[in-house]
Amino acid sequence: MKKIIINRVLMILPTVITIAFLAFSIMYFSPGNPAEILMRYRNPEGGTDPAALAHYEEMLGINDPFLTQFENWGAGILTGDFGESFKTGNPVTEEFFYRIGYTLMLSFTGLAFSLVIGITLGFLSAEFKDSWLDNLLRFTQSLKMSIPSFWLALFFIYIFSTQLRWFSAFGYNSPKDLILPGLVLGLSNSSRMVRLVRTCILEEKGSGYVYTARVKGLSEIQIFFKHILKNITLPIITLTGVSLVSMIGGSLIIENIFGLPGIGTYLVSAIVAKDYPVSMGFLFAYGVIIVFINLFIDIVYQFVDPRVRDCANAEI
Amino acid sequence: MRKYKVKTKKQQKNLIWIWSGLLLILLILIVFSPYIFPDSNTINYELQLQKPSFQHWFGTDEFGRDLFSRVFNGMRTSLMYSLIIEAIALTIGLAIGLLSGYLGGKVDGFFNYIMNVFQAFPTTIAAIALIAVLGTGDLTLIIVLSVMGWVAYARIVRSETLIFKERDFVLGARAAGGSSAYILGKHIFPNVLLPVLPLATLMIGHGIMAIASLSFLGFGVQPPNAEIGLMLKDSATFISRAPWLLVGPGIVLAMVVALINALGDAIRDKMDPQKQMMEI
Amino acid sequence: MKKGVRALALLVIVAVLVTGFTGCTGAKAKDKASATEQTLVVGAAKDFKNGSEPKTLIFDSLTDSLEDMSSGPRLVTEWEKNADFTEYTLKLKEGVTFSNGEKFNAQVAKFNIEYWPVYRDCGYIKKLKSIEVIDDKNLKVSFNESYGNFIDELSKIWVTLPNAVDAKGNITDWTGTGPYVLKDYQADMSATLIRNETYWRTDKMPGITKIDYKVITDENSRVMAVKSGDVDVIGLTEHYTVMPFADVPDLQANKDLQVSICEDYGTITTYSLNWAKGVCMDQNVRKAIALGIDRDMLCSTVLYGVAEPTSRFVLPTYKFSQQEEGLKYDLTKAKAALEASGYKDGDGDGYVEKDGQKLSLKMVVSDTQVNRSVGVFLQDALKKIGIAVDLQVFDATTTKTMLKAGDFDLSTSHPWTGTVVSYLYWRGNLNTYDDYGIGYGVNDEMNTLTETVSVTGDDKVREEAFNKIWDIQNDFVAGVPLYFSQRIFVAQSNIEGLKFCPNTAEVDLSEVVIK
Repeated sequence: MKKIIINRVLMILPTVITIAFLAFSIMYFSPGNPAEILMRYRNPEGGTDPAALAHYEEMLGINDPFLTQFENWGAGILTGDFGESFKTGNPVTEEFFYRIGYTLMLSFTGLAFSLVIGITLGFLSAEFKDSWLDNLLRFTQSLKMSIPSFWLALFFIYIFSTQLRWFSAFGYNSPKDLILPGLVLGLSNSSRMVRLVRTCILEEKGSGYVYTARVKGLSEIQIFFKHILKNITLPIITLTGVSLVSMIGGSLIIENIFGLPGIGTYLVSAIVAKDYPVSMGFLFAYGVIIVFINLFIDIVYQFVDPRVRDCANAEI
Repeated sequence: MRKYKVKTKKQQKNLIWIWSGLLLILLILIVFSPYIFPDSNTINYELQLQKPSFQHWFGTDEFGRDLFSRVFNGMRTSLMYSLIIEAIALTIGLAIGLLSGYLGGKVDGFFNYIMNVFQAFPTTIAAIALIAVLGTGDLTLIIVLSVMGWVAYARIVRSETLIFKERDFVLGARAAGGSSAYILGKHIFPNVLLPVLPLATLMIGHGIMAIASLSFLGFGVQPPNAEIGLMLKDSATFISRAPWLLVGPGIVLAMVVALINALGDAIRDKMDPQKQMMEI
Repeated sequence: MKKGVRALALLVIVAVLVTGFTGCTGAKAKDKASATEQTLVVGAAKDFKNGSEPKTLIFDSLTDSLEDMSSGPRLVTEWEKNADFTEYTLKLKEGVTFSNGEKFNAQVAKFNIEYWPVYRDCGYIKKLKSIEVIDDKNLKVSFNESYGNFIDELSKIWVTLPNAVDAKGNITDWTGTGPYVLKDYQADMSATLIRNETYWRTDKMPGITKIDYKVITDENSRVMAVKSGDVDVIGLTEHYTVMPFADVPDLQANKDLQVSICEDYGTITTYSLNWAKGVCMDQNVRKAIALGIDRDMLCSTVLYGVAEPTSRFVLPTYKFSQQEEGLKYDLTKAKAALEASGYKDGDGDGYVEKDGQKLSLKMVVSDTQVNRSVGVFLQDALKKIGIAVDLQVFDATTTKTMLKAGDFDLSTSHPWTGTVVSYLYWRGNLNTYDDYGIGYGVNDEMNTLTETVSVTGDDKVREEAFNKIWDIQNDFVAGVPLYFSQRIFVAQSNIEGLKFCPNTAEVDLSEVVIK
């Protein structure tokens, strides 16, 4: 186990370097001259003066060989300098830290919903196995997995914003505005949680200690909270990590629809606007965040009881 | 010990038949939609934004086009692309998974590291970045999603290969002097193919959703063509005037993906009796 | 067991974090400001510093555009010109200060007149000889040759402090003499403005004390935001239509909202035809396209009866606009035009071809709901005369790149603007590709006529020149005008006094009150 963990940790460095390399080359090979694009942003109404263009090219060093440019960019990263946004002129790090807050708030709200929904419904589903409730819950879970999150988002906006007017449809004014997008994210990601909790509980229920507890006269709910929950905690945490990864990736489209100023929306608009420093920096940041979450998942997974691991395998 | 009952083989078989039957009906509608609904692109402004009715089950869009037929036409595009994408991803995943698992050592380490790198980028975001480089277009869409899709296959193929590598029949074949290529092709490949099948089924649904998401964001299929994500994008404008534009495409998309997933689960349960507890 | 305890602790931590977050989300939103508070929340399409409108809240122009498109006094209160329009004497408003206390004087005005014209498409800079500061309040401007359009063009000069700009036309210090002061700014997100309590135009002192400028880039979200009451008004800070026309009837029916549509000023959505490259080099093809589009049908269907059909480049209410409509819908003439160039449907597939080549247009439009719908409409319309259209929808930046590279046959474009004289300087006499397709400088005569218009101060001469220009444009068909795209304000019903300015890029809040 130790060996696996050490191995995974050692893998981090080359992985991160490769991520940086990929993020850089995607933007490097994008069509269009960055100097011209930057010049356009700095001077939208001016023409393309060749002398000015040459000046910008020099400034950005875009005539240097690929590796030199990559090294320069990489060296910047090491000192925390990701360059400045072409569009706004602000440092990329500043833009990132301003926006990551919204993405994290949204992801954690989504996680909260997915945990609450997942554990409650999973418990009910297991407790009333093969009853109509179980069947109904399982049916809704599989349906939920088949509905795209943006459809759910539009549908919720229609119901809760335009019809009932409970929530504002756009932008972030107060924490209340995280409920709808968070619920959408949570719902789209909760199916796996429900299934995991259900299968794990069923697995646990069949084991000896539950039988003993039952003999001792503990109620099912007491058994769940005193015994089962702690045994399935690790797989839940592991799946929470997996969900977090998919939420950070999936929040993009939700941020887009609900107009939350998170990193996803900003990255897409930067890619579209050919704001290279932002695109490269944000792609890199995405990669690094996810690599570390994945590392965390792998490590936690190592501690999961092999018996429980079996039931978790299907979902993680 | 277990006090709950296991579903009988017969029940399971029935389930597969029901799923398959429903799916088949939908598939026929989808695949033959250009012949069943030949005029799904015909514009008729007199029928602009009609509510669902007997003539138009899902209503009509702003060009008076019948939404029901357009949804199936759109699903056809999505399904076709998704199948192509998954076929490519499966091929790459199989090749890399087999090599990685069978050869082990440095090769395995290298591929593992590549997989880690690929998994570090969320699919949608990486796809958009790649589309920015390659330009929007249906071909780009297919390439990009295939490139992002193989990792899931490679992981499962690798772990299955690791298991089969140690099985007696493989060891026997090796002892008998069979070449690596022969063992991989003749003994391991057919055996790992089966466990991959449920995943492949599930991934078709995923592919459809990924295409829809990208089209919704404006990076996928282009407007004149019918496509679910694109239709939903347009429905956003009409959400209070014509909410049915949202409903029809959503229902069909959810049904198709849910049925494909259910089929995948059913196949998995059937093939792996140990996991019978975990249906759906 | 110990492991289990640790795990339980972890779960508790996660749960606490999670409930902490849900607790946050459950917190009540702050009550909206009471009705009497004069804070206007504006939903805008663009970043505050990027659009052309927001700056008019902070800066003043040298002259004002009046309703008849002539010029009135503003920071320049009086002007005199000599007989051949080579010398102007400008008198400036006294006692005007910038919001930081610095004085507006002849030196500041001189700087602005010299610095801004290149960035504001003002033609006078090409003829400018010298600017002489007579005293604090008077300037003498001399030109090398006659230049009649000078005073009108001064309405495009928004006065900044001389040290508030960089070398490339960017404002670095947003301190102006205008009605509002910029307090807070987040790129691509928001801006906060408060009233300039010492604004020099006391008659134009706005009632709104604070403006919250919120950037909402998505068109549907903007509409949603005004519907849900998150913003007070949309469409105010853009000189073009910022919402899908499909939403307008719905918004009009909404009792909580008021919809104002500007019938007098605005632009006509015009599609650009690539007359320098590809199939559209053929004049008959261009004519067939212009003749083949049923604009009445377009407006009554996909534009929901809001936009008005027209085949003019400029609204008739504007000075020097064309006298008559251009090429109107006529299927037979359209087909005849194609036949005249040898296009025929030989293989019966419904599309015409010449030399075995199917007539197919690459149509590039930027991604808005209206553009997509109009695109599909045009595709269907042109199919009826046998032209195939390959519709390609891109985001704004990609669209601009493609148009600038000339990689299109038919595309969305920038319309002729109200003051047609200045448009002539910008795209009207351009014969190359720019962000909006290709210009209208189709021949040498356009050059000569542009020269004539700029030199003279005599409206009669200009009118004659413009009649010729319109004849050339109607005949050449470098672009296809489709519909009058009105500016639309959608506001909460308690907001009064919103009005459209003759200078379409100006935002005038002087009469706005929140009841």
